[in-house]
Amino acid sequence: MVKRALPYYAPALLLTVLVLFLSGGLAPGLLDPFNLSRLLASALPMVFLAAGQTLVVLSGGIDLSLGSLLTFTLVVMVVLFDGVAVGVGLLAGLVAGLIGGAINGVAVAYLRLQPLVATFATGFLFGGLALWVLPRPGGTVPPGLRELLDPPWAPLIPYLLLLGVWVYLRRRPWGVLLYATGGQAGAAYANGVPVARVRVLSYMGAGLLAAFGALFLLVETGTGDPLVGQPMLLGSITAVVLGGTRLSGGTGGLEGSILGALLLVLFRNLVFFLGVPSDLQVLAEGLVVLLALATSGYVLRRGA
Amino acid sequence: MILFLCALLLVIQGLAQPGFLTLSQVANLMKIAAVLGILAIGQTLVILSGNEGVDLSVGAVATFGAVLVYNLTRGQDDRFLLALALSLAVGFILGCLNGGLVVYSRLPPLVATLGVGTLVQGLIVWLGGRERGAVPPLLVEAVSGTWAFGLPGILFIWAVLALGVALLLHRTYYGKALYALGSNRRAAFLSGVRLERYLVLTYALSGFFSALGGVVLLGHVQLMHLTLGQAYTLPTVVAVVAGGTLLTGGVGSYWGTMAGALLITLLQSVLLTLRIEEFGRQVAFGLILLGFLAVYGREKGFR
Repeated sequence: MVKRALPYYAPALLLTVLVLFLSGGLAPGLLDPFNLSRLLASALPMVFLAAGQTLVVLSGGIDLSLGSLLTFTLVVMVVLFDGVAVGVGLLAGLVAGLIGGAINGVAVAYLRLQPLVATFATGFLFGGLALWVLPRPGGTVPPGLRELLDPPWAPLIPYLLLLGVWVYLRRRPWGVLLYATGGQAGAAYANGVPVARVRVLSYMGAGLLAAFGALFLLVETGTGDPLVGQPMLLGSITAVVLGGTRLSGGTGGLEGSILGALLLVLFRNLVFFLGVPSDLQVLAEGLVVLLALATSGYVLRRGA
Repeated sequence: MILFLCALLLVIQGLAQPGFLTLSQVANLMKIAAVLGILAIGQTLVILSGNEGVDLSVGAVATFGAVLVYNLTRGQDDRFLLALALSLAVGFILGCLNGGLVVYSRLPPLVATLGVGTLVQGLIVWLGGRERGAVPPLLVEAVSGTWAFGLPGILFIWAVLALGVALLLHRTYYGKALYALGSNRRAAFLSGVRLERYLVLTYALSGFFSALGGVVLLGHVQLMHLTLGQAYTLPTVVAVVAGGTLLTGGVGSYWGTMAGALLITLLQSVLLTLRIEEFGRQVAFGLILLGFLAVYGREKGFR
């Protein structure tokens, strides 16, 4: 066996460590255990959303409805928390995520609509439904749930679970089929891969992960908002690209996207800590995201 | 088919709201369609260029174009032309940025333009956050004032632009190159079309027309706010798709987009008349886009 190449997420890992130390140097308080734990907790929604996006991208698609789907599951949860019970709300939210994902999957895999535009369209479906369920911001999260991530070690658990499930599933037949479908769908089909079913499953997985993202967002903010998820869409795609997963499908993985999402949150914190005026923050963030996208696209294509 | 749908919607509208089919009402509707139609010019070009080309920065660039005119003229007519030129130039440059990211960084157009859109939104918040300025009367007069036959100026602007775009698409080398790029990029390249140059130019033109559309929109609503054009981004895509332009590129025309813009405006008006709220309108939009995709844009199966 020849020398093993670096893992695909090596650049992302390097960059994350670099930015972490840079942040630590500029704002020393940032790296103490308490702040680090808060940082990890606040990154969770984006991490799970990016993880969902990664599944779809690996299967050769893209999901532009994921932000709206997160919003939709979030408002479903909040409304049921207030009116019915926490357990019911949680379950309904996760089921809503699965159903939304299934709709996307069927549109892409069985109706054979282009993923880009089909999910763009379903995004408006989910966004509209979210506005129907909860027309204006409101609702409360029960205290038991709000304190879920309060212990300093607690935010680590979702990360470990996500990574564990991913590492387990990737080696199972399902993971192999996922990579095969994304790598070259035609060849996979000819070799007996149930391409359509794999695609539907990847969209459903994305919906489920988006629902978990919604849950962590609720824990973080404590209230519902019918427009909260849509702006997170670009971040989820950026995280995937930063993490080394190629948007053409078939190569990459969740590890990289988790790092990519952490990077985004670290950048945001850094911009905040550096005291950039508030009306410039959107601009600074946009600039960083665009720069990251542009260069990673460039470097990765050259390298691969 | 699309004209048939338009007629159907007109009838529904007429039934739901008696006395709707007067000249002034129809002219009003045409005005709204014209704004959308002008904003969809760039989108048509980009989608024609193929390879999942789409410009999601249209709304943000339009708003930015409007902000520039608003802040630079401060309501004075003599500065209008200069401000307009600057705004169009900035739109062109932002379009070049889109094109550069797509061509040289090889980002999917959707991601690149979404990113540029975010950046531009940042610029808008930064520059336009301090509200100071006004809409020059000249612009209002040009867009909303009556020119001839009792019709507002915006309709004539739209007609002239439509003719220009049709000439550009069907009578110039650029137009031929664009259709060639869209239908088969590799074949176009092998036939000597300079891919990179024409792709960047296409996105640049999209930025240019978006900024122009934003200025026209400013003259239409006569108010400035920081999300002036954002709501138009999705409808421009729907208008182009509904107009029969294939998302895979290479097939379609601006005439189709114009019909699509009319269709969407009518649809919105019907939904409003039927008192359907925001969520219903979003859901309806999503479903209609899916429907059109199913009719026009299905991918090939494996068998």
